[in-house]
Amino acid sequence: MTHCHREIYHAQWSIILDDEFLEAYEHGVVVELCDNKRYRFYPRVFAYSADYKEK
Amino acid sequence: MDDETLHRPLAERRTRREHRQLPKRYRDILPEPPAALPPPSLQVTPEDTQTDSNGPQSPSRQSQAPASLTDRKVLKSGRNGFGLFRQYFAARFPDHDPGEHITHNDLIESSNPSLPVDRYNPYPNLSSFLIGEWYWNGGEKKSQASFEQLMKIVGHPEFRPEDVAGNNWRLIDAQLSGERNEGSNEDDWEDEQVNRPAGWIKTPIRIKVPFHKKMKHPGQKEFDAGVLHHRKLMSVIRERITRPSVHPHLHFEPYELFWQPNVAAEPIRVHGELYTSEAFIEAHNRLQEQTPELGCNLPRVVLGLMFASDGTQLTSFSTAKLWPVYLTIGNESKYRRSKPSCQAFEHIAYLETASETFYVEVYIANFCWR
Repeated sequence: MTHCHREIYHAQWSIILDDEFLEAYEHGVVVELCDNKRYRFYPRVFAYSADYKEK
Repeated sequence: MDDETLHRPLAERRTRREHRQLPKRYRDILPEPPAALPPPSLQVTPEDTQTDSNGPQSPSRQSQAPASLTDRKVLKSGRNGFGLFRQYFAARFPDHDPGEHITHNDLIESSNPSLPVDRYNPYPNLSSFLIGEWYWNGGEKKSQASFEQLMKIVGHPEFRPEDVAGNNWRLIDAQLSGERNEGSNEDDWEDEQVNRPAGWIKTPIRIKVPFHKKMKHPGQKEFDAGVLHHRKLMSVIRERITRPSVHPHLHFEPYELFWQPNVAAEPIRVHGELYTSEAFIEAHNRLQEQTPELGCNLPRVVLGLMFASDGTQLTSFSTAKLWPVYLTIGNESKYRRSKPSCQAFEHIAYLETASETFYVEVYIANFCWR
């Protein structure tokens, strides 16, 4: 059952980190901000804070 | 003292004494924003941030700065009152300086915030607020008490029916659920998922479960493990960074923060923000060295994502649980991120755990020995 817990967890994260995100991660995403300037943003994950699942 | 001063009356000559300071031990040290960066050269158009700057050079910018990365050099800002200065490694100082936008109010923890003008927001007026409050907090079922409550509202001396008439209640409720950050009841969480403006989607979770070769159906089998409620990550990020209230506070270029109490002292590195951290600087440098996307010379910016998740028990006596995932962007100062009013933590998803029905399904599928 630990296997299922882990698999479900990973399956959900792979849904959250979708193709659109991976595309942006690799090639950046151009966004025009409110100063009318355009930037190419590269999302990077710096931290993930979580604890062990409580019973 | 020049002639002009001498001709002025004595009292006027003494004006400078108004600025006399209290003895040091009585003075309160007020926070101070970082020292301003030298102004960007005037000849650089906003779109064309990569071209040469031919404008007047500030002392810390010795040579003209062409676009290429080989020209990146160490740039130091001036020191502020506390001896803190910023050190960039770039061709030039950034045009977008969040330090400029820091007001005195951003720096102090105001203990007594002034009341907003529209104090019943999102309700337009007192009458609407009273009705809305009765609707949400009056309990699920109609009761004698809640009826009396309603009568009290309608009979309130300041209640005006015309104030309530034209309201878009649906919009108000949506704002209420979207903007709620404190003091919400636990059972409103469900509403929040439904009512939040755009972006919440459901995706089925499918996992593979392997079965032992001695079981009835050995090998892998796919199972449905429930539905994940989540938002499109990129949409959330895009929404966040394009929000006009957030934009002025975003740091696009990392820098090293140093403390140098006096000119003679050796500067000491100050750690605190994600965008002054070694990891961020490294990611930024790696990105700048990477070959750019074809035909694109837009400035490339690292977005520091920070996720957090923590399971919470919703009630004391039932198994109602939530396991939310939050996202916050490290390009914003931690002092802003930690203010509830800045709403810097975005909900990304509500994680599911294996439900009982899931286990039963798996069990039925295969847990009988051959």
